[in-house]
Amino acid sequence: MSEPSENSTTALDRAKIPLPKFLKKNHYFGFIGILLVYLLAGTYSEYSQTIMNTIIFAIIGASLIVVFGMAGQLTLGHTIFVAAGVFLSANITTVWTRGLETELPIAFGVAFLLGLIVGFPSLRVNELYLALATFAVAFVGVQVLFEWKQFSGGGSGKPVGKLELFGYEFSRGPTLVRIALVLMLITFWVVGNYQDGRTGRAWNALRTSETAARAAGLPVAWLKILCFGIGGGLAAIGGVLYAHTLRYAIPENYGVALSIIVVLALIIGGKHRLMGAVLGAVFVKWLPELSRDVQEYEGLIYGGTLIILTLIAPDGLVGMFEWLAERMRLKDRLERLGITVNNSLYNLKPFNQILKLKVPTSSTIEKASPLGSRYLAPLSSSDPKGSLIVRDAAVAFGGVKAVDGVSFEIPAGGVTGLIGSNGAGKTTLFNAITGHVKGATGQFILDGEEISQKPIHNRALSGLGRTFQNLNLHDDLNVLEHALLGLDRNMKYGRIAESFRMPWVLREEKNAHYVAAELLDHMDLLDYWNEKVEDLPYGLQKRVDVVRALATNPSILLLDEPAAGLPTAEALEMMEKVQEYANHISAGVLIIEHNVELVAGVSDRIIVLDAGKTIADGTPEEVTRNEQVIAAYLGT
Amino acid sequence: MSGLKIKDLKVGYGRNEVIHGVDIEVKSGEKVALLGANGAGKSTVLKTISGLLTPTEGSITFNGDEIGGANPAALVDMGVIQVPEGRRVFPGLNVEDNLKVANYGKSPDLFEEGLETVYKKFPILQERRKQAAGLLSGGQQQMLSLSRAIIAKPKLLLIDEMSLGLAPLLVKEFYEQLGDLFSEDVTLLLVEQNAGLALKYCSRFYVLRNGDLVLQSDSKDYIDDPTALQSAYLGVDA
Repeated sequence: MSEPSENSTTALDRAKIPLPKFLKKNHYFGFIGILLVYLLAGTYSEYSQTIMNTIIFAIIGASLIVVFGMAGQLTLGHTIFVAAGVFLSANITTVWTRGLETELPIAFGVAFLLGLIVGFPSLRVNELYLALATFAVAFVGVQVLFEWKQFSGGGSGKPVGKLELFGYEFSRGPTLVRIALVLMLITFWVVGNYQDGRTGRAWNALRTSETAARAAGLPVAWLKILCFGIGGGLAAIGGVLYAHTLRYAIPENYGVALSIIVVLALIIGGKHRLMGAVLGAVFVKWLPELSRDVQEYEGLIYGGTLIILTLIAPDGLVGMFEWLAERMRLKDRLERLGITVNNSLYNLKPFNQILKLKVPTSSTIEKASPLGSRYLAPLSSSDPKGSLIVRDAAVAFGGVKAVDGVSFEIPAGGVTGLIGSNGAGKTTLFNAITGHVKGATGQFILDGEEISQKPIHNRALSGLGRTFQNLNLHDDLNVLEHALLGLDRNMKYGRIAESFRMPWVLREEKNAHYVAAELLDHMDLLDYWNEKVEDLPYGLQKRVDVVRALATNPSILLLDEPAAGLPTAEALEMMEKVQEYANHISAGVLIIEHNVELVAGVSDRIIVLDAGKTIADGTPEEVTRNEQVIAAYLGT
Repeated sequence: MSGLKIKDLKVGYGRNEVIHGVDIEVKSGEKVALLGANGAGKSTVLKTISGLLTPTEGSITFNGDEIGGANPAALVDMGVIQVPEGRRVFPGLNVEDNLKVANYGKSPDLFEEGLETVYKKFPILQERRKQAAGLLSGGQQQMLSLSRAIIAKPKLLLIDEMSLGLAPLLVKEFYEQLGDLFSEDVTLLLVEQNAGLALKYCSRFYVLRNGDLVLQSDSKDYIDDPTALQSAYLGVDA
């Protein structure tokens, strides 16, 4: 029997997964750093200009983290948002003679809307083409400023008015630095909150695999446009500060060159961390201060640094520091796992060690089932769901009819196998059901709801969960985050609440962490929660794919060759776990698999496809004895 | 000395050693399987033989020549051909161009001959020869991947998970026709998850566990006793 103490702990506690907290280590570090500059600003007032520029670049860098670092949208048009902030500020202070209380919200709002528009090309093109498209945006943006003389003053520019807040006038110099620091604190706080929340997680996911992100129910199109909106709005705050630092706004300052420098600065600093935005800004703004000689070779130094960094530390200066810290900590990590480290073993990856130790021991067997835990038990349902009707499904690629009029009905809660020779159209049929293939015709009805016309993520939200034939995981994200991504479907908190880290956001996040941990425990992945997926062996990666799908709490789970590449015993064990969970939530399962032994073992019914058509449909016994199936698929 | 001979092979990724001294011998014309659980290091061994990874210690010889750490391209010229794990086709090239790549640096006449064998074996590839390989189904991509090996006329063939995503009928046929598809004296080392199949078609096998060799034997000694093999995989006492 298990110890009561064993029962009372949650999977999260056992794996020592840290819970999201209102204030964390980074908050203290960030706050202390900013406070230090705040206090010293008066003493070193001769550097005010450079400090201001650094802060502004750090804010712009943080806004780029949203667009480029998290969502992965390489933009070279970011300065049009800065320019929007600068010229709005110039106009508001001179024409309306209002202060920051008007400048900041208007600049944020206008740039946010502008961002939504600029973000549109990202729906059509990626990577280099997006960089080119946004490059054009930056180019056109400056031309518009030159021509729109009323707004920008044309080539000669426009002066910026007084620095005021609610009618109180402030001197520039150290005071402006302090105002900028407060705004930087807020910007960083907001961006940091995104990094910890569902939106940041979704951005990170779509950066690494849009296909999989859609399958998890994430509204990829909206998220992409949104990142430009939020990134643009925050960059405009940097723009307002820039206007007050320079006191004069000239269109030619906000061209493509500046766009490239802000992106460079962030890449040099490290594009995934707020600290990277700071380091990048310091690098770009303080290097020229060192000596006049440096200024002459600015381009050479940035370019050279970039080349060296991409070779030795692709994650920038921050990445380099983190890597160094990680190397020093590796030993502790192994020791915490109960592995004595001598020097020859020091080189081993932790999971290899765990594999060696992880022969099912008595303690893992006696442990209470995660399904009975406080977090997974409420998901239990006795009401079977996942009835799927497929009518006349057809998909053609060029002239080839991959799926050619397939119809079937699956009752709720059943396990159905889908087998057939190579090229029979099994995966294509899956893609037609989930929406991953264009030009599919036919009707798909899930639990009485027609989903044929819905975009991929809405079908996922309707209850379709799926895994992929060729693993489709999010590199860079750890195992726990994959589970949390799946759980996003059932998270309720809004994005504005997320920006400000409201209590209910944290409450929901904490709960999701508990659920995710239990789910990982159920699939025997708990020990690997903090491993990046690309470091895991293939078999475990397959489980991560399954966990992500299970976490969406699907009505029906579509598994595409879950056992391919696994030894039969391992595959059986995994399928057992999947089925157990599917039963727990009363979901249906539709499974493509070539391991006939396995598929016949788990399915109530098997459908056989050949050349895009159904050739047999029945119980496993009937199907495996069917002569047509033997001739076309099984062989004798 | 003919055939493949591996002595005290150690390999790692970066500083992490994953193969801790392994000895494997495959005589010329012999068919041998490399088995083991996920993450045991099977693919690493194969990649090291084909030159994709460099051994940290030990030697690999093929027909008497040391090939450990040699350039993969040079190894291909020597006839050491690997079928990589998981359908690595060139998705943007069409089917026939994918096959042509395998004939790189060889005579076009040989290519025609190989192409005939391939199309006879996998007629679907002939049917779709002008289509981009990325549009093939998963299993058809695996056929293409195997076909590239046929075209390349290997002396030493390394197959990583032949059966991945292939219909059972095809897998069976492929194994039975190895001699026709390649040459009778091809030396074969294959990694296979389906141990039953591997034992049926290979004369001997090795089992890896966590980078160590834990068992080697003639297939006939184990073919009726899969449980014993299972325990060797996982390291539990049956």
